[in-house]
Amino acid sequence: MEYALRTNALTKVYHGKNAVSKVTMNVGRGEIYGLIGKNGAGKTTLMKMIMGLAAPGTGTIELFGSTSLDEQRKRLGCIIESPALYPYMTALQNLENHRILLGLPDKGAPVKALQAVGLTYTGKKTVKHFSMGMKQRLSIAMALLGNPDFLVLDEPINGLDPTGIRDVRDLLLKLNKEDGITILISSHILGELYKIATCYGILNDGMLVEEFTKDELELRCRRCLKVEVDDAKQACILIEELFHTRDYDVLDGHIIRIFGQDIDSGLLNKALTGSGITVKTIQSSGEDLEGYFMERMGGTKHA
Amino acid sequence: MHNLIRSELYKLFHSRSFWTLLIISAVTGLIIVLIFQGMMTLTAKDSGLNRMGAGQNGFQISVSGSDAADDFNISGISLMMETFSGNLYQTLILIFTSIFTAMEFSHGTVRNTVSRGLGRGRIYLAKYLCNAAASLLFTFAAMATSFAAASVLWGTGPITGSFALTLLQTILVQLLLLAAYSGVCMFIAILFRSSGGAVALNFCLLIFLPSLLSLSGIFTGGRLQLERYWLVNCASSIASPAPDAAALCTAVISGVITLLLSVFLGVFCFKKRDI
Repeated sequence: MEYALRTNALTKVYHGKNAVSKVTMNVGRGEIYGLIGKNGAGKTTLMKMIMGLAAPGTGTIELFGSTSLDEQRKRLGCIIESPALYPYMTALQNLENHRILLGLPDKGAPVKALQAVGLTYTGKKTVKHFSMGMKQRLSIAMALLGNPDFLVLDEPINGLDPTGIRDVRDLLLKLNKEDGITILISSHILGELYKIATCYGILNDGMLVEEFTKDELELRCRRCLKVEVDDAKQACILIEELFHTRDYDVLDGHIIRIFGQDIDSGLLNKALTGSGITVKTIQSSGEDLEGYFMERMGGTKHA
Repeated sequence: MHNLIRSELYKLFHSRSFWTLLIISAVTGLIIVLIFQGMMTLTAKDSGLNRMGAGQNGFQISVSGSDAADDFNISGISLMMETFSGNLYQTLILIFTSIFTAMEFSHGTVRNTVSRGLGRGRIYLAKYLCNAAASLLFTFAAMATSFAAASVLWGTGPITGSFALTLLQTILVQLLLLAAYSGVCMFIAILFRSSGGAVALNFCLLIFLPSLLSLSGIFTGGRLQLERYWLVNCASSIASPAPDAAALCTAVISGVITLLLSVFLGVFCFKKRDI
């Protein structure tokens, strides 16, 4: 598989504290990688290191299989932290300046970028008079200038109204599907991230806790009946005979998760105990996405 | 590099602070001439009163400012060079350079350039070249208005072959000193990353550094006089159409060393710190 980004044991220390700690992650070409973490988890610091705004303490970064990062960063577009715009210029002037900086020959590129994000109506209004949502859209337009192969977006839908969020989502999905652009995106709005991302990484206290694909996530969040027993092997045989299903899995050797809507927990409990199997717990389970992420990020604490 | 410079120039010419300071610079050049005109008129009146007394005793009377200007050798060229003494240009440069450099950090726009893999050294150099260009434009604006106004009032002054060459050399050295000063101001702005802090420290340097440097003379019994090599003092020492050759030489050496040192240190600091 080709990778747009690979990091190996990437670490960054600020004032004696690990802001990012030994993060090894891989973002495949054409993926939309959702980076999830609470405030202060290290998402922005990680993205800054990828974009060359902060130097890694230790560890390595590869972009498109190359360690010549400055050269490869020309293929990237980004939004890091807040919108980075010149307030005394209009939207078009900001984009025109960026076009000149990138050496793009197409003088119509700024107008096309404004059309893509729905900001063609701003005219001579300078950026200092823009709303937060307008600034965010303009930032996205700047990141898209030059047709990058890889977008690094740090909470790009902050400050957007529902229409704006939908528009950005549709735009990113379109860019990914039609142009094959790889996207690394972080957001606190997990529902939106679920609609966009094809794989996820959870960052907690600077460490990459878990990485999984969307399919794996859906599997983990399916509704099920969770049974904790002392003899899982015997219990599985009984379940197959009783409910004619093989749609289950065993965790840690003694927790059986039976998927499907029509499992009678009372019947199951009776059958298991009747066969001499001790049932420690039996409960319906199946988190929604937010619940699953909260659990992996460290319980109910919110930063 | 070419694209970086074009981008910086684009920002420069869309910058309100640039145009404001350019106008201030041009107007200040004019004001200097008007101040001199006022001084000459007052001086002439005093001379006239004295000559009137002499005239009553049979001597020729003259009450014109031109006569006073002749007495003091005032011309378009001399007044144009006079603008280099004092802190006019340095004040404009420090204000503009501090704002134009630090704003990239306060607006976060430095992330746009650095994140595109353009190289921090080149980014710094492009910004410096633009700052230096702006500094020279302020200088030319004040020089042009002061020369034009003074020439109308008192004539351009003598421009012979060797004198013109000396004048050109002096102007070029002055411009070198101002470019070096711009480098120092930009280095301070890169350290502080805020317009207010950079302007404040640059003002303090402008006002207090000569006094601090003069302590070197006190502590070394006059053997070492560091204040002679400070850019502003060098500029003042050659602020005439035909300055002393030794002073010119000192100014060139100070200018070159300060410019190279400030740019080198600026690039080093910019490369080392996270954004």
